[in-house]
Amino acid sequence: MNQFVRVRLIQCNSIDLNLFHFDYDLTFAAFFINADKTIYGRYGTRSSHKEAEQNISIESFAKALKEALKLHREYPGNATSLANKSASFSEFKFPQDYPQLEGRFQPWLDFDGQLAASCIHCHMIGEADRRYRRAQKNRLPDKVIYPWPMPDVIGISLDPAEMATIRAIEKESIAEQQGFKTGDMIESLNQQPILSIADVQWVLHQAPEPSRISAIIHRNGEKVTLELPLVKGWRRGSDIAWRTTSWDLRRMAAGGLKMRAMSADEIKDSGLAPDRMALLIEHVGQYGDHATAKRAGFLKDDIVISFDGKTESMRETEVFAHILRERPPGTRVELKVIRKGKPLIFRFDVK
Amino acid sequence: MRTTLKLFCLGLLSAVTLITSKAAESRDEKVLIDKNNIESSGLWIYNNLNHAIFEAKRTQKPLLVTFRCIP
Repeated sequence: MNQFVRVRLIQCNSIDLNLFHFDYDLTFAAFFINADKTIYGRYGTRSSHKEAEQNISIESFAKALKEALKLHREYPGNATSLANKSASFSEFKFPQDYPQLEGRFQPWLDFDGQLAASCIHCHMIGEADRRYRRAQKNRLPDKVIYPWPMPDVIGISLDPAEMATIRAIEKESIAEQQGFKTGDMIESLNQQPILSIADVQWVLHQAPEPSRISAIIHRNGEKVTLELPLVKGWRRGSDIAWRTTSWDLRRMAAGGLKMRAMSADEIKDSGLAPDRMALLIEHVGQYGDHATAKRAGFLKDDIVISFDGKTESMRETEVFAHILRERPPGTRVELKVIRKGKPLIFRFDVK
Repeated sequence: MRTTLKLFCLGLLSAVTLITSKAAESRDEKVLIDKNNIESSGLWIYNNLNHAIFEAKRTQKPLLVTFRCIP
């Protein structure tokens, strides 16, 4: 650690969005960078609300630090391979420039006054960006709906104790079909050196649809070159329900409802049709736009069996995606629910 | 035995006091305590990226930049 200049940033006010482009749903994130702002790597991954640390470890962080030092020693000879580790995030340079945040936050923290209230939290950037895009009445692209995909979505589960070593491959996944194997160490993706799961997510996050990602793998002491073809819609297997920013998606797409897909046993016990939509309402928002569904008449424990004409089995994530892709703000949607065995219909306008 | 029990009770009381005082801290207080701890440790530059970049140029070291807010 003492071979680095270490700086701890505690807020996102005035951070350069074109440099610090990371998964804004994280509560811990790290960058290894050169003083000229070339990025060597990122660290910090999360895929669950409850299990916040299941994708990170001291061991993998230490290995990433060591590799970052190696890249620093080799710099600038390796500058070409690092060039694509940066990319612009937004047309706004600073978070406080977004319309949702402008005027509410200063470029600095108020250490002498309302300290916590003056802080732009990381998740606020993601929310402000989606709100800005949604206000343009554009359909949100999958890249915005499903940010920073976990490699699991293409069938690769990485070991949290290593930089990017495959601990399991999902059967019949793209990764298995392309020849990836358990134990493979991912050295580079699209020529970018990989220091962490976050670096893998970065390459996936930036990948166009469709596209092909080239991979160099270490396997049993040998280097193997593989490819990952990404078809249109490949991000849609991701689950975004755990994300803090999904709270705002509930306001936009679901009138403030928090829903979860019922298990097969729950569906059977409720006497509902198998393999059809069955979303249990776990929470009904109480205030402002989050109370849109409450005002429409929804109650906790209602079961949604049809959402804007969709009746197939869906997760909450897929409901969000459907609305954000297909329905501009102000569109009236109709939902069918079961309450204590009786069918009811409610309507509200999405935001 | 009595001494052990006294020590145990004292430890328990200290723990309860610590937990109670922690719970009583506002978010602002937590941030200020964290700021004081980080700055007094001398191990990290606190919340000043420009200074860190200056130091990285001066020392030819890479930067480790962390984002971590106080819950």
